[in-house]
Amino acid sequence: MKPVLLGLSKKTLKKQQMRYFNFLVLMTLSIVCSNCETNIDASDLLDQQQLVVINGYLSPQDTLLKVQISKSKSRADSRETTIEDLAIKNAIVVIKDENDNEVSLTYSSVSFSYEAPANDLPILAGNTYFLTAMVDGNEYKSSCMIPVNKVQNIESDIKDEPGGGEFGRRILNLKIEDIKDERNFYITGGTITHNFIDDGISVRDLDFDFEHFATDSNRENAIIALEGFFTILSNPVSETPKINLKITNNEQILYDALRADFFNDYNDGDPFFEPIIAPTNIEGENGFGVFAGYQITEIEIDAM
Amino acid sequence: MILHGTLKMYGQKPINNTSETKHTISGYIKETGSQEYLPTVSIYIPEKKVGTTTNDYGFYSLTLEEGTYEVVISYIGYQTIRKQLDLQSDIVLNHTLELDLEALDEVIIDANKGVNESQVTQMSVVTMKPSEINDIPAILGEKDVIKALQLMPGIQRGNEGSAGFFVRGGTPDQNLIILDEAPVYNSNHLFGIFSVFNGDAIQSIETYKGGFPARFGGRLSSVLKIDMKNGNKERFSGKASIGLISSSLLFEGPINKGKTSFIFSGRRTYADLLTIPFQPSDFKAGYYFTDLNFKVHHIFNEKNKLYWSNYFGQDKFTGSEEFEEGDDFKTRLFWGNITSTLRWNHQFNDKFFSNTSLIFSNYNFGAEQEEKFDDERFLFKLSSGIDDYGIKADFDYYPNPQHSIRFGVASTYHNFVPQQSKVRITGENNTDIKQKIESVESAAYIEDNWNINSSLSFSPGIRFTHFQFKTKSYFNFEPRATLSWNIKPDLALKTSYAKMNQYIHLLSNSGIGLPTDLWVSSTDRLKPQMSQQYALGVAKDFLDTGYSITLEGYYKKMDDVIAYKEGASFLLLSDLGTGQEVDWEENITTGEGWAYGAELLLRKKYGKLTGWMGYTLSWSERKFEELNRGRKFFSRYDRRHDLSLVGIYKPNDRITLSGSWVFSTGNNFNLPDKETISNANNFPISFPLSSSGGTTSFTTERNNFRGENYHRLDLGIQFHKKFSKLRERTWAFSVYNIYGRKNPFFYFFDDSKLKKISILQFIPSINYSYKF
Repeated sequence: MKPVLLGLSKKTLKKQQMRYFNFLVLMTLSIVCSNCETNIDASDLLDQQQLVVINGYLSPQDTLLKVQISKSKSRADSRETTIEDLAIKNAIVVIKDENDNEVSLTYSSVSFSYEAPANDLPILAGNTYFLTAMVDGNEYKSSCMIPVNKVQNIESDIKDEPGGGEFGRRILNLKIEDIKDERNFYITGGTITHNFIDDGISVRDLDFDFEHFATDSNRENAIIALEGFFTILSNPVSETPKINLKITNNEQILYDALRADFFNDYNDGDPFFEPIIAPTNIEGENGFGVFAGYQITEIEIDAM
Repeated sequence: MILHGTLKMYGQKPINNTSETKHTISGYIKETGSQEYLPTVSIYIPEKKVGTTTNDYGFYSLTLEEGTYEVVISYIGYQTIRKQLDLQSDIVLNHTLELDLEALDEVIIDANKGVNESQVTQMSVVTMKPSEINDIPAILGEKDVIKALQLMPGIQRGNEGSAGFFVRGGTPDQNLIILDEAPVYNSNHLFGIFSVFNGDAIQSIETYKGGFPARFGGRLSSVLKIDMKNGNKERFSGKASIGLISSSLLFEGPINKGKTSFIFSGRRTYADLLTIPFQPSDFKAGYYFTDLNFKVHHIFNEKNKLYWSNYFGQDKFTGSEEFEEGDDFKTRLFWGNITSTLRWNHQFNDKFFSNTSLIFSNYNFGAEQEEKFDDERFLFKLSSGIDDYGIKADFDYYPNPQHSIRFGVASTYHNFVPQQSKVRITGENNTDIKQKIESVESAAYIEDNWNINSSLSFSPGIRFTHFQFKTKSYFNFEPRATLSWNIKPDLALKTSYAKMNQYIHLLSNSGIGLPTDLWVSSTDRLKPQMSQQYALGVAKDFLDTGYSITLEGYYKKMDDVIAYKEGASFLLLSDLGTGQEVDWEENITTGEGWAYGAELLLRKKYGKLTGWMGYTLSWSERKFEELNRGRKFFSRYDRRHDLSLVGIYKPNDRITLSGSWVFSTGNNFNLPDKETISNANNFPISFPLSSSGGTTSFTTERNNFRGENYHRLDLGIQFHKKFSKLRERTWAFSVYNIYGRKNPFFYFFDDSKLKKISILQFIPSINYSYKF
């Protein structure tokens, strides 16, 4: 017998149980329905409005300033669409600082974003920046403020996951010292890199589940404890796998927007989940998206 | 109709209450045979054109000048009693009413029978007899109080099949559901498909949608008051019923003839039992729900009576798997209510009546998983719930025919456990987390039903409420008033105002009312919800035909209504790994709500053909600073139009035909209907399984998608056969959604195709019952 529960962390049990519960509800409903899935002609039911979606995030640690501008499409539109098709390539994008120093960003067909070297406009902690984008004759505006501080003190501890250690599964426990006396919105993640003896390389994301997103709500000036997961691959490696841990301190709107996207993705297909309406601070006709600041802290940890 | 106390009779003249000596007629009205007390029976003095009705416990009191009068005692479905009375001193007049077997005939329609819509002050009330519920076709033949009420205007169903209900733009937690004075927190079985109320044991059902009397409080949108029968005091009787998914049994009778009676009813589904033979020996899974009602009624003497009512209901899912070498895996989910009420009726004198109640109510949701593997054992338990302990005293005072005064006090200790978890792993430290919220909710009220003159009546009331959470106190003042003006004897114009406060709240983001939804209390940071409702209406009775029509408009403003913040849920309220509590109040946001609309009800209450047509035109909106980017949005069950047609036809005593057709505007859904490049694309952190680097779907508006219109037709037929006066069997056949309308349950995108899931299409049922 393969253990079912012993291989799970305590943290995920509740989530498992609720998903199990939702499955039970769906199973019950499926018993009382027959032929219950039907295609709908959505042409008259859906909002056909097209949005101009602008997302740009600034940080003092940036080497490249990036703003992505795209259009939205209806999900009922069956035409094959790539990221490149959605990207708007002919916009005029300018970022200014408080002293009217400005930089124009140019479109990159690699990142599908508008870019400029960070040296052209220094991004400074505590400063405000202004975005202007002209798209097909319409002007879109926004502004952001770079958080003053970044996370300084992080303690990490790695241990085998109960029941999963033999499969290479590890738990990464983090203790992050809260930035004092202000409301903070943290996003945590990173990668684990394996360099294999045969020259191959594997870069995988760390999984912090819901705890990718954490605030200091109710624990101001305390230690923020987070639990992440990764897997040590069994292939022979040329050096100890490295974890590149990233923690950002973000403007709230950026935190909320990324969290909305994460949760909506995470719960995709769950009929009991209410999709989150992401925030926007883009002004202009049919404008949507977020222009915001953050500060990032990166550390490297041996994964073994 | 509901009102207890003075009854306004059309054509009534001002009553001469000068210096003449007055005496009081008082007593109790019971049903012949069972000796059940009958509420809302009309006691009418034609000569004086004054009357009253019995209260919930069958008591009435009427004070008149000395003289000789004819007293008419009447109640729909029972034979009318006319009695000559020489009133020279205070008189106790107890009576029993006999079921009128001819009551189905059109010819016996009597304008004075019972209480008509235009003749009471109260407005915005729906009453329904248990027999009506029994006749309306139901899903799988399970007769359901709440499903039947959902066919009334202003009371809307939630999603397809759901037994949750939404009154005048409110939410399910804003409905006060009381069973023999005890609040019932979860009124659903099987994820909302059935309600917990077993119709066999019910004596009366009243629903207030507005114009709330001051004796009710604690919820914003409605009061559903359900009273159980007391049990037959003369002989043993019962009813057994077998249906497709459940069977039920009711048994009642005297413990001490004429003094003490009991009633017991039970219902259980048996899908779990029937599937046992088909399950492999090493894997078992099953689900059932059950309801048990038990009540004892004891009469110490005519002035002192005791009632002990109990309800136990539970849903339970179990699963287990056995492996080699004794290893196993077990899981269990359960949720349910327990209520218990001990009531003491005391009649101080012929004008003054009291009822004192001790009330217990419990709701509990739990989930367990247990695993044994080699020598290791793992146990995980999760639960949430609420315990209420309450005391309540209500007094009825009938000083004269113009006034019927009620006053009382109540206090409830709430003990909420939003979350409790326990983890046991061999070789590891135990992890136990328990969150607890304790609060005390108290109220005092006084109300009067005042017949100012022959055409004008006024029902003012006031309720003071107090709520204590730790050191934080909330003290609120809730004025209530209803005014009724009889333009003609059978036509009344009514208006009402009610202010309500709600101190306990249900956190729900499932949208369908799952048992995982969480009850919490107001705290120092979470203010009580508050509403003010204004209503204006017309009630017209067509006394010769048995028809009545009511038209009401309402406007309700709600403040400090609560909702989960974007993306918050029950799942995120604590971190089990660290044992750290995440403050649930942080996940809550408060806002405003508006509900307004109009309701039309054309009803025929007696005759061979009974039924109604109900139509609701309504709007329901919400605004939260932290939801939908602070913009106003339509609530999920905001429906512009809602129409119900219900007909019950009894051509003779052997057949009952029934049908209902409902039509409503579609529900609002939160449907991510747009797609663009993921916003995580240029962020330095990417998330496993997320769409970073790709596209993402989103919506910019809450409840952005209006689903298709809803409609369905249900038909039923019952064949009755009487073996003797007291024995009868009934075969009942019904079909829910007979033309198989694919009503939407939810929508989703599969690639670029919009799809809907529909449930409950063409559900036939058969049911057999035997009364003895």
